[in-house]
Amino acid sequence: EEARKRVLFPVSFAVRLALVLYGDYQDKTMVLKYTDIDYHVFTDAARFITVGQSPYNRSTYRYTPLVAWILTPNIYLFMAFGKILFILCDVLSGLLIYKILRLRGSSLGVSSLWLLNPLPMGVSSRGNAESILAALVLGTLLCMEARRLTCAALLFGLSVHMKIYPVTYTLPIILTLRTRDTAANKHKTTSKWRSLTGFITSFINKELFMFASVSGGVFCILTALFYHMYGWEFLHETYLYHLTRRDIRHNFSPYFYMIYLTADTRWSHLLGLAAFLPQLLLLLILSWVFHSDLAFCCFLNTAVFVSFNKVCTSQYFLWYLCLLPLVIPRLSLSVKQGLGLLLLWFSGQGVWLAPAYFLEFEGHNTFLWIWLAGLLFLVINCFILVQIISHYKPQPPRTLKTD
Amino acid sequence: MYLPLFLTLACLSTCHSFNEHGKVYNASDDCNFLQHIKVSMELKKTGFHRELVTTIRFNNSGLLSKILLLYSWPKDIYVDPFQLASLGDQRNWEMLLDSTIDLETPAHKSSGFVTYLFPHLEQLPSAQVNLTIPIHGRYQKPSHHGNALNSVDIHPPSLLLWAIETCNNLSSFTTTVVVAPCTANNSSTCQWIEVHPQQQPDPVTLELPVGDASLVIPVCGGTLLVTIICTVSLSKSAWARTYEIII
Repeated sequence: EEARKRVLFPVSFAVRLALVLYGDYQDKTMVLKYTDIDYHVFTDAARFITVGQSPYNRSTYRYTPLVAWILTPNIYLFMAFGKILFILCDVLSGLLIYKILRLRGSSLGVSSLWLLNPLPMGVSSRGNAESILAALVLGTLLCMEARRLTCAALLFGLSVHMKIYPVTYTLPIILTLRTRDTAANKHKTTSKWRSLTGFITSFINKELFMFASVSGGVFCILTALFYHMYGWEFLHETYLYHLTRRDIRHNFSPYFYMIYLTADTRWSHLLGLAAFLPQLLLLLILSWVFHSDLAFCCFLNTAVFVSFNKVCTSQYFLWYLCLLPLVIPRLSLSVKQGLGLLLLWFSGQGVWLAPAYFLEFEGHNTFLWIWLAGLLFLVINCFILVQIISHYKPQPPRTLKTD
Repeated sequence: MYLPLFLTLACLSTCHSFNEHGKVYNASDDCNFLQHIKVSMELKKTGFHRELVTTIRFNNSGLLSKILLLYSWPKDIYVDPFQLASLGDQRNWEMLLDSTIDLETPAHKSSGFVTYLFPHLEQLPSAQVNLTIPIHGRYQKPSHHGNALNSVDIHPPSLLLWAIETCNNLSSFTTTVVVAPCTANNSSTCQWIEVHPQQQPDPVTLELPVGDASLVIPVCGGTLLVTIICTVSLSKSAWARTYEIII
């Protein structure tokens, strides 16, 4: 396995590097550009920083200023610096997947599902920053699995600062870190009042307090620092915009057409709440049921968060796809069934992409078809998740200790 | 770097006049060439992302060094300043916008804007110049009338020339003095002369898809029904594993 590892990681990096070089060639010679539009947004924001201005002077820059700061070598050194960083994070994500799998008793082979997967290869080499977040989230999970809680808390605080969605891991992490009842206590007949107080006091322990302080501290320090530097605009563009976002333009979300048609009506906020409730309810249930297997729980929470979100674009899929290799070794599905589900998932996207193309690039009114395809994609995603849940062999829980 | 070349050309051609500003000169002191300037527009591509190609045809006897096209855009259209900047050498013009552009708001929450387009005319003389501007359609307010597409008209730009002091017969043309930015790079204003071509082109029209507001109840009902069914089925399958997994 060590020999395979020595080949797999350099090859994965070399393929990605070749894609970055090819991308540069395509950008220079063809009308259709390889580089993602977001990469230009990051670079423009980094350019504003190099001249002492706010990265938010670049309209549609809706990330932490940290990303623009990290990418200032795009201006100072060479344009492809950010892409090299993203592909490095992409390969690092593969390494973290491998390490988590080893802790969970699985083999190297599954990590190649990420390392040799054309989707993350394409996304990172085109200049999308999702691989940074994948590495941070996987790093958090590795530290949790290895019981290095301080390190996990640091990475978790940083992850939530970078993007909001890992906040959905908070409840499963809290439930994991609470003091567990011993088997003897569990079977004792106790009053309801005592079980309730016992449940509440189970959250008061050193590990949980330490994790909350470190992750909360990292998040608050970074937020305070950037608020001091860039003011309200930072809070609005990085967090509030995403929380209150009502994007009426077509996207994979099942709610898109409803939001578009009701955007200016008095029902808008009520329907927004109605759309938020299924997401909230499912996150609560999944966190409660599956928290003892944190990696699986985080995968399910992310997949539900993305599928039921009011805005959903294809880059969001990477948020849960990077966690899928951690889940696959424990699925009792046959290869044929697995491939069938994969084909179904791609078909769902294809059915959506066709009317979306005709709307955006041909000017045909296909709103109704996009809406129906969005609903079908939600049904497909839920069907796949139900299959994964019912075919998952749970990991035996372990007692956590601090490092 | 073009100024010395420009001066050399002007001095070699003794038949050409050259005023102090050096911005317009022509074969003779009469400005009859203005009569022959023609402006036409064409929309390329389909859907929300288009290219507006403006063609200006000159009479060969006239040679302009500085003209300005003033576009008044409807609220349904926007240009992406960052996309324009990224075009680099692919464009043969500079553009100045009169306001900041919100790239995401729908048409009914936006307002129209004005752009000043300065073509690069250093390579003239040539009979015509094509100016391609990438433009984008904004999402439209849902329609209660059942129309699937909304028509949006883009009117031809105003053609402005740098103050023509050498024209003896300028008064014989239909012109208006307009104050507009001198260049795309600074905010100082200059006096320009708006020329009204004899043949004003028709507006070009693009059609943008519009949501059907009459479907609001079935769409909301259908969406909520499907999401509730999905939520229930996922919750049931998770709950079925509660006792197996929670320790």
